[in-house]
Amino acid sequence: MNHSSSEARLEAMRRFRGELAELSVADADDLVRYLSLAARLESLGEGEPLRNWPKAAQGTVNAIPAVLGRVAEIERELLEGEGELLGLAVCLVQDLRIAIAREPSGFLGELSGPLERLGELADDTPLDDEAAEVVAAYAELVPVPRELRLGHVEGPIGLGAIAAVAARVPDASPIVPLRRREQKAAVEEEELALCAGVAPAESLRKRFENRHACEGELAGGVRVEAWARLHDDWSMAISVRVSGGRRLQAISARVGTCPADRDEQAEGMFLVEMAGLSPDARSRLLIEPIVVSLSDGRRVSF
Amino acid sequence: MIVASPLDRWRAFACGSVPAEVRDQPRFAKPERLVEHVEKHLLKARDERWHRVVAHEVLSEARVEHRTLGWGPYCDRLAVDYEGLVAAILVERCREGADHAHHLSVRHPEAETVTEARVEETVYAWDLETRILAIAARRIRSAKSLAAGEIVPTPAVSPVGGTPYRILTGYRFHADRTEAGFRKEIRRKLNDLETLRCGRLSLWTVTHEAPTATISPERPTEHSR
Repeated sequence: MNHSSSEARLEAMRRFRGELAELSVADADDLVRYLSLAARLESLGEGEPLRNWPKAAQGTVNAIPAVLGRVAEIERELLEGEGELLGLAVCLVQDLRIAIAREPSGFLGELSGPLERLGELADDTPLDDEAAEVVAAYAELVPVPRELRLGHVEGPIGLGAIAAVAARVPDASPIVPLRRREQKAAVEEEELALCAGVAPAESLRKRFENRHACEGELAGGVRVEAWARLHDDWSMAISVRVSGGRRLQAISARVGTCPADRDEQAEGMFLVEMAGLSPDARSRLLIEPIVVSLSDGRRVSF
Repeated sequence: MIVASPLDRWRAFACGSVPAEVRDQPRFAKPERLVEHVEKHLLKARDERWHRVVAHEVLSEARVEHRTLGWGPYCDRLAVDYEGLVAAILVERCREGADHAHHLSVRHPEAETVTEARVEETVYAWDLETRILAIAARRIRSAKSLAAGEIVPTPAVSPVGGTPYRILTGYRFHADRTEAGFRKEIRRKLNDLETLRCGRLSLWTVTHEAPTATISPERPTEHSR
């Protein structure tokens, strides 16, 4: 670390301390902010604020629901944010990861699962150049312990940089699509024909429904049952039943990259309209995995 | 006056400059950028938080259109509404002198020549009613004299030369936060950006929260540091 970056770290620590001193934890946002700043100071060698978080939050905020309540919003910022806002969302995920791993009381242990998944989502989210710049500045200022580092914090690279590198690779050539074998093509044609009718063919419907009747158990005794059905009007109904978790529910679903509409009348029901799609688009959707997000940030696919 | 380091040259360049408010209706730099934003924020978004901000009918029709036929006239109309909404927030907040912040920084400070690097002024404007944070930026051209190492003091007026503002984004936060909670969240994000930039080449930040402006330690009318 050179002289100017050590100066920058001192300045950053001064700012973090200053904000923490003025922060009184009154709601979920305040608690998340407290944990975020305390985690940064912890990484910079000042562990006291993180040790003291239960005292700071005492009597005002119930920590687990408070942080869980923010997880969905952070997830949205990762999925829909861009530029500096996306960069800040990645930094916040990193902060919370440090806070939960390093706080000594163990009260936040329950959050490690959702935070782990949030970390995976953060690392799966491509960074644009502005976002990468924010994460790079964070990585320079906050010495995150190696074992807790997100991939983006370990090496923040923006899409622009990736494109620039790719363009310089001497042998860079376009991806060549391979020809399909005849047999495969025939199957696909058959599949297409099944998807071209006014209603799904019975054989197609059965195969689809057999493939999409699943169940499983998640950590914490949460049981998830999920199934999908094809209706005569080419709509796909996705049903998810969650039991065993405290007020857990399915909040969104998507088929491949296509978001499903939530049925406001029935909990855990989602709908994808395929009537207006071409047979080709329908056949592609039918083989896509269905991903369901739960209210605690966990996701299941089937 | 001869200044040795590029850092000092940049700071001297910023010395005397003042924030430029967003006056003319800003737009996205390219139509493709606007389309990307509309698809990401309004068309593919999972929740219904945009319904109360843009016309319900246009949003619904555009979503159906986009899902079934791809980009079409309804999506076009939605894009025009979205761009207008974000632009109006930027212009209005700057006109009122409230709820917005300016930041002047050097991008690509590691560039080998002064002309490769650039100075950028970014405006963050937030709207309490819609809970939207609008961000726009303009590029300020580096003076030729900087490359030669000579400083021509810039007058204390704005702009110091540069392109018009271009919209970078308009992000809508959860509407369930109180007004005070939303303001607090924005302030924290701006604080973070300022802190993270302190290790990089930040020239100055000016925050306008009604009724008067708060100026960061790096005052725009003085040499910083």
